[in-house]
Amino acid sequence: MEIWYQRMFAAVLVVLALIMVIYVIRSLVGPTLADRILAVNAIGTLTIVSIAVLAMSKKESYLMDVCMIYAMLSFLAIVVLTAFVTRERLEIRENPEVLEEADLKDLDDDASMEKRRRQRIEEAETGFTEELIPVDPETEEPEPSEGSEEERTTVHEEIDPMIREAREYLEKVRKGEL
Amino acid sequence: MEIVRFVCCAVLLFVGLFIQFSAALGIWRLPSALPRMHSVAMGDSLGKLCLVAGLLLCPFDGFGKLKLLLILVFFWLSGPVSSHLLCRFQVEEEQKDTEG
Repeated sequence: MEIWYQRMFAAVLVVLALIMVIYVIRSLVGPTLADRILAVNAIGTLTIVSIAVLAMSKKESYLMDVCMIYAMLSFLAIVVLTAFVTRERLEIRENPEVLEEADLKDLDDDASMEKRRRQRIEEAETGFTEELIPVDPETEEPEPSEGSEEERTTVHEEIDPMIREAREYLEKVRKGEL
Repeated sequence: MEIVRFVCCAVLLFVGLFIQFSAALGIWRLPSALPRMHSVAMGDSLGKLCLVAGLLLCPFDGFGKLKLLLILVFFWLSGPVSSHLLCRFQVEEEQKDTEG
């Protein structure tokens, strides 16, 4: 009986390989990217089935673990490919200038965050100096907002209440109340 | 009894292979990516069910069969998700083509 099972498994593996060849040709020919991803996904499925058949044929239980890992990896590959490309495309359609500035913006963000953090530390150590309190376009967002200075000021105050206090103090000094 | 088991196993395995083969045929016969997705999804769900059921009937002791069932469940959960993502991807692409 055992020999018949072995022969059947061999036949199944051969047919699976032939079906896989069909998918490989489709993934090479496929006109759109979705066709190729689809064919590669189906090849992954067939590979999992053939590893399972091999595990049954050799009576090795650990090959099933390989199957499981392969299933998770192929699912992850689909998610990463499609989600990444779709999100990028959506961003480009909504505001086309995002793509050109994207990498620069990331770097810039890190640098300005670092700069702001250092400024905070300096403020804490030395107390307030006058040039830090007016909103400085270099230390704040590089792109000028459409609103007036007051609008930016309110944003700034929301960020840091200590700066608001200092601003009120300065206003009093300018008016000569103190 | 052994013969009956073998025959059931073989029939299930080859029915699964036939379904997978029809899915592979559908990927050539159908006109565009979304119908092809339908064909491949059928092959993935029903074909894989038949193949795994055939393998479960084989004489084999140990945790291997339990793991096989786990793989089948994982496939049934992950297949629709990946199909949906791929479908959204393709629709985005077609919209982009018609826009510009």
